[in-house]
Amino acid sequence: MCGQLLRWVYFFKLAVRRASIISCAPQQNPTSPSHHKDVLRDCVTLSPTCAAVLDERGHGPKLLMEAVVDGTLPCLEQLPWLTPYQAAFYNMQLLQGDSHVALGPFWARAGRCSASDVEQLNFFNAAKEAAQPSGQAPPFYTYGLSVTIGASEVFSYAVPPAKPGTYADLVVSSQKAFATGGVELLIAHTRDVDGFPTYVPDARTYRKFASPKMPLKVLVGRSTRRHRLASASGLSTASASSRTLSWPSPGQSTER
Amino acid sequence: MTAFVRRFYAGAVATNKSLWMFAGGPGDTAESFAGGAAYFNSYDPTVTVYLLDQRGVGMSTPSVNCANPPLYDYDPNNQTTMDAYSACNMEIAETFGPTIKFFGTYYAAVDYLTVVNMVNADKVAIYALSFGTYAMNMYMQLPGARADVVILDGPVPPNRWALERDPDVKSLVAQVKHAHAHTRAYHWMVRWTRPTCPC
Repeated sequence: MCGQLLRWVYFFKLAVRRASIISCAPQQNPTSPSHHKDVLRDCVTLSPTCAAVLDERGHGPKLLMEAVVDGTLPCLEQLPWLTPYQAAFYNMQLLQGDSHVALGPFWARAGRCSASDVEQLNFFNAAKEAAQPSGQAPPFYTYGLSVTIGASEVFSYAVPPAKPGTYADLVVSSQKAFATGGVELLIAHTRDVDGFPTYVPDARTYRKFASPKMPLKVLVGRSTRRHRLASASGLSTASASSRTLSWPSPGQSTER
Repeated sequence: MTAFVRRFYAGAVATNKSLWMFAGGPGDTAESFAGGAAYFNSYDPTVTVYLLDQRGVGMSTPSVNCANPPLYDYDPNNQTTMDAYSACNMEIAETFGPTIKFFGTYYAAVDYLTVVNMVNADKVAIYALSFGTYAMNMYMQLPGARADVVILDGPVPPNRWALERDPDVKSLVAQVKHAHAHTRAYHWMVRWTRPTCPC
């Protein structure tokens, strides 16, 4: 069945949709495309609102995300759609392209939690949901293959303490790591559920490192300064010409 | 088998400067990058973005799935839910039998290489996210693997468990920064694809 691979190319133009809502300080917002590099820093630098709520380093969303995960955000009951998954999704989505101008205000509103903030955030979420394409959408996730590869390869060697003992612990730890929705399911799945399909991975490449010859950049989720330091020390390969690929030590890697 | 590929370009025809985006998961489709593709096109109209659904995933066929896959309602204390998961798994195992191994990451990497060679663009840039970096690591091990530049974003190591890290607040800060890294990666990629870039 797998010996023959037929292929075809399908293409379409994507209709770009935007939902602009609120702003930190409209006259000062970094709206030009040249400001994409550090959205939160720009926002807290340029806007008193952002600086007051997101703190000078722009780490407010981290604390607010904790409040969403723990259920302690004061107005959470009035924002029923703001699940940990949705919060993480908005974090990622709002960092893309021109949407970045909404990230600071989004968390500023969530942190302040006034009646007006709740109204605006609900309006924002409704606008985003309304902007979703109608009709049959392509699937974003395929459960069966996820479980099969997860159990056979990439999650097969999970061991404690990185593999919490209970499903509840898995949920908490993965939500705090923005990994909501998949990892905890897969790990628990291999322990709790019967009958999942597995295979023996192809030995030619399994658990082996590539030796890339091309320029290669590895992003491991640290700040720019730390990233440069990691690159200089060889932990992160910024230009890996003819060098065996190396990875960060435990504690430095990130996953989705 | 059919591998589903879609491409995005700004002009009337596709260009010879290609950007390939490897999705995460495992199990995620490249559809999640559609917004990013539009961003690249708006930023640099000379780039053609290619999104390939890994074999067994999304619009590629056959789909490695059961007829009624469970949703995100996993509850180890709910026997009905657990039975549904088990039934789905057994249906997949029965449908694919020993051929399930051909849906492993190695063969996904072979597909990527095959399609990249079919397109045969002058420039090949590859951006891989999360589990996509795991697949990309296999891609780069294949004889003749093509890439002029590669970004591994949020790498999943091929030799150890990806969650081997401290799951406390500091890691969450790192995750926020990781989100920033996505934006930086886009800029780095865009810089590379500019005609005047010396890289």
